[in-house]
Amino acid sequence: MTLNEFRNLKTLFDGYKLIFCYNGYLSQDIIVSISSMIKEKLTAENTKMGVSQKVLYMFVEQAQNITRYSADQLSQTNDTNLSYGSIVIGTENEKFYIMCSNRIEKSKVPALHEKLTELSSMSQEDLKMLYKEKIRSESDQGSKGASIGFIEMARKSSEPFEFDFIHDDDTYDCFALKVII
Amino acid sequence: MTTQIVEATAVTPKITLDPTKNYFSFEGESYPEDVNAFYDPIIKPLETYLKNAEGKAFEFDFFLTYFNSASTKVFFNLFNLLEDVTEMNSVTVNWKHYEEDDTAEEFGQDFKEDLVNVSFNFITL
Repeated sequence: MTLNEFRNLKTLFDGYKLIFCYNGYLSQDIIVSISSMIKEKLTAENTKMGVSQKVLYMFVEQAQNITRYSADQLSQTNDTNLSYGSIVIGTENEKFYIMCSNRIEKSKVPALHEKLTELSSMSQEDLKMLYKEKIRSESDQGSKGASIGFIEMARKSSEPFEFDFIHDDDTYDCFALKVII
Repeated sequence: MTTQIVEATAVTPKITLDPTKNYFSFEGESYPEDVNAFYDPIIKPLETYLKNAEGKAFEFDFFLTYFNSASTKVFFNLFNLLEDVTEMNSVTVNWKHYEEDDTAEEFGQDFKEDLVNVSFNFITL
């Protein structure tokens, strides 16, 4: 990349009036630092606490999904785990949105696609029932969280999830998710 | 179980377990990378203590300004246990949240709905 291309990239990002944009390796320590930046930034802008808490929630859930499920991991030990992905926080039509992207194995796509499609079409009432059902049962197989992160994100969203899976190579797809508060 | 205070970190709450006063509290943020690795050593002895208690009046303060979905499961399981121990004991939960923090309030409402015999109070700050 030339300096000029870098400047063009920056101009492009600035045009979207993003609060935050990250593309690279994430770790738990980085998530903690960014969370603290988000809190300070939103507090300084007098964002309502109910809204800033949701932004923080979506950010941490999406970032921890990257650290847990991104196909691009630098090491497997818990203290030094680095996972590659992208996260963006911005505003559109006076609403915050949080977007994330990472590569996942093609074999994991159908289940995730089905889960997100189902959640996107559910009413608040149904989401709440599903949340109760999930929290009472054991975690989904292969889930390192509590399986309820996506459900909680759907409950805290004002609009259905936007998501897609783009072919990357024979083994991986690139997953992207946009959540609007 | 001995009295124990676990100091808060950026991603884990301050936890006070005081069996001499039957007072327990969780205050701060909770989004450790591995929730079970953090909570199991703290909650397991608490579970054993509560399950074997009779005729006690337990008080729990929760003031969680932020917690992730995996932590939700840990607290849900703890509240279930509290409901169970009300057969032989009384349990009061004080769910504290900032007045403007409707996210924390909604989490409290979700927990409260499943509890019948636990006295669940909302305290706004």
